[in-house]
Amino acid sequence: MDQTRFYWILTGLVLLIMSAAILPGLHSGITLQPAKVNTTITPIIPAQSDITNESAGISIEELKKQAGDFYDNKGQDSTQNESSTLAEVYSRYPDATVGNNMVASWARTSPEEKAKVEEHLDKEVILAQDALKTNPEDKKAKHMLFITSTLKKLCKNNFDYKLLESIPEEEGGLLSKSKKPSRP
Amino acid sequence: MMSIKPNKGFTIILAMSLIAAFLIVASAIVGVSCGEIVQASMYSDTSSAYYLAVAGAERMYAYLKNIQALNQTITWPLRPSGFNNVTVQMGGSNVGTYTATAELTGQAGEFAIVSSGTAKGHTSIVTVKYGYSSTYTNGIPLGSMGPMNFSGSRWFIFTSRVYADGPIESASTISPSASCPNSSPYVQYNGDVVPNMSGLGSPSYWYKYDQPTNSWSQKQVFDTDGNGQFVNDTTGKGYVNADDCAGDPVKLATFNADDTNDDDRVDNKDAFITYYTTELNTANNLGINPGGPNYYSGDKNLGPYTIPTGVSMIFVDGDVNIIFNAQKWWPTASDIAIISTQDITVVQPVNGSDDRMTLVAYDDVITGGINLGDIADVDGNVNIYANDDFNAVLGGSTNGSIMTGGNINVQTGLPSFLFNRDLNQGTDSWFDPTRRPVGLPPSYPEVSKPFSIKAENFSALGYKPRWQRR
Repeated sequence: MDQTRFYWILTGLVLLIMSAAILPGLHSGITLQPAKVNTTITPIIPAQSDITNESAGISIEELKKQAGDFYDNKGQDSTQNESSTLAEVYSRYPDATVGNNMVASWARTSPEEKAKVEEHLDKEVILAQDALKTNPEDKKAKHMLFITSTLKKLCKNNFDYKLLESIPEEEGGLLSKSKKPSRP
Repeated sequence: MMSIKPNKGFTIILAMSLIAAFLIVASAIVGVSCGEIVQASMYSDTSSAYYLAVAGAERMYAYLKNIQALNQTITWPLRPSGFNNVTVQMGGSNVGTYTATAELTGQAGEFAIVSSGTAKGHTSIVTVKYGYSSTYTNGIPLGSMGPMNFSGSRWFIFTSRVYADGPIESASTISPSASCPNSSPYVQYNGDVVPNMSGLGSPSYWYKYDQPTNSWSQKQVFDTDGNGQFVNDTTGKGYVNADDCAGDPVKLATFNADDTNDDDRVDNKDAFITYYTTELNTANNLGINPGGPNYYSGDKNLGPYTIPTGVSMIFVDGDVNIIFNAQKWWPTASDIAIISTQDITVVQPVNGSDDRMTLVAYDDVITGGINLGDIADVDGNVNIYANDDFNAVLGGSTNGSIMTGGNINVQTGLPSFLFNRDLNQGTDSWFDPTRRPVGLPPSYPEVSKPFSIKAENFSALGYKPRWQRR
């Protein structure tokens, strides 16, 4: 191959490469063809399988075993294995069985709003107490005092209620070891 | 062929290579830029089309909820004229259009909303599938024999409102008589509001269970023990006392036998006590007879660990105070009924979507709390019957039915969303009689709806809407 022919072939190759590089760019600028969209949006509500205990890697039977059977062990202190606070319950069990996470909801509430609510509860407690001083048998005031003072306590504890306290000590709990239903 | 000298040929090739390299880089930049611009434009239009479709789906959902609230029937497929090629504008210019329809999917109890959005020639279709029931039966969302009063509050832009699902029926007055969500007293009704309703009756406890035939029948009023012997109310007092016996020893013996709670009168309270502790206890083996494991005398404070799992009903001869729930409501379903001969006060009632709590008081039921619900605080249901009044103070959110023989009073606290009060209809259906709460009295008023969208929640009872896009 003489030198002249070699240069012409080389020139041709360079032009070919240039064409290959330029044409697709021009193509995309001319056609304005949208890509085909075929998307499935992630469901807003989790799939059923996501909300079973199995998805947490633990079966209901296992959870029961871990929690201990509080009620079948009357007379023994089996409460130590139970969830002792509401926050613990929310962390251990799925939403479907526990319901709205009040601890998290309260935590998200602004300090100003919390203060406003607690201040209102304080006022209601004082009102109920005053009403009871005037009339100790005022049913409405009694109920209001129970509701507002309990809510105050819940707010103070960020709604992380100590569940085992719900068994009145003086009774040992209705389910209790020492429970003897009284007759009328 | 033209001859090229070696030194010139090298220069030409070098120059052309540099030009080629420049053109390649320039072409790549142009190509990428054009592609990005096109993709961004296309994405914007497709997104607009998608959101238009979503808007159509949401509006159709609201339309269907209204059909449900008004107790109307649906003819499938549903293609309302106001949902065809609806133009959406933003800032005076057209964004695009949507068309929405609703139709059955072919799966039992399932329908789909199909909404198509179009923006600048780009179309996006959204399909949302929901469960529905044509056999929804539940207790009346709100019913009372006495007056109903609802009251929210406002301070500048802050409000605490009352929301109540209907039908709301009273044999007396209802105040306010219509929704006023933007003005005092900040109440929003969803459904029929019917004051002075003549057909509404207070549930009766004068019922007798016959074990051999496993059947129920009405007792003669004042015949508490159902033996056919009773003393008449001779003076129209509404109860019987010793005066009605006129010294007749036979009548006195009958009177004493029917005076279940030994308060020297035979009245509805005797029927109430006997209905639960004798009749219902025999029919369902509940252990709520005097001396039974689920019978309690005196005032009781209840919390999540107080009533053992598996116990379905307790009877308390006294006042009851409850914090959250009377029974552990997780991880398995709880369905507990608390019956009290006096008042029940429940603070911050709560349960999961698979749970149910029934509260029945011969006197009043009172509830109060703080509305912390992303979903309802009572995510399942709470059904309430108060022979006297139901009072709701401060905030909270519940699903279920509330009926009283007396008044219903609902009052929020200071203007804060934390004191919003939501009274939603029940999410479970009692169409199957075995699903009806056993603790509610006979002849408790119920409502049936020909179309009801299944609750959107996580429970097995509820239904999980599925959104798809193409």
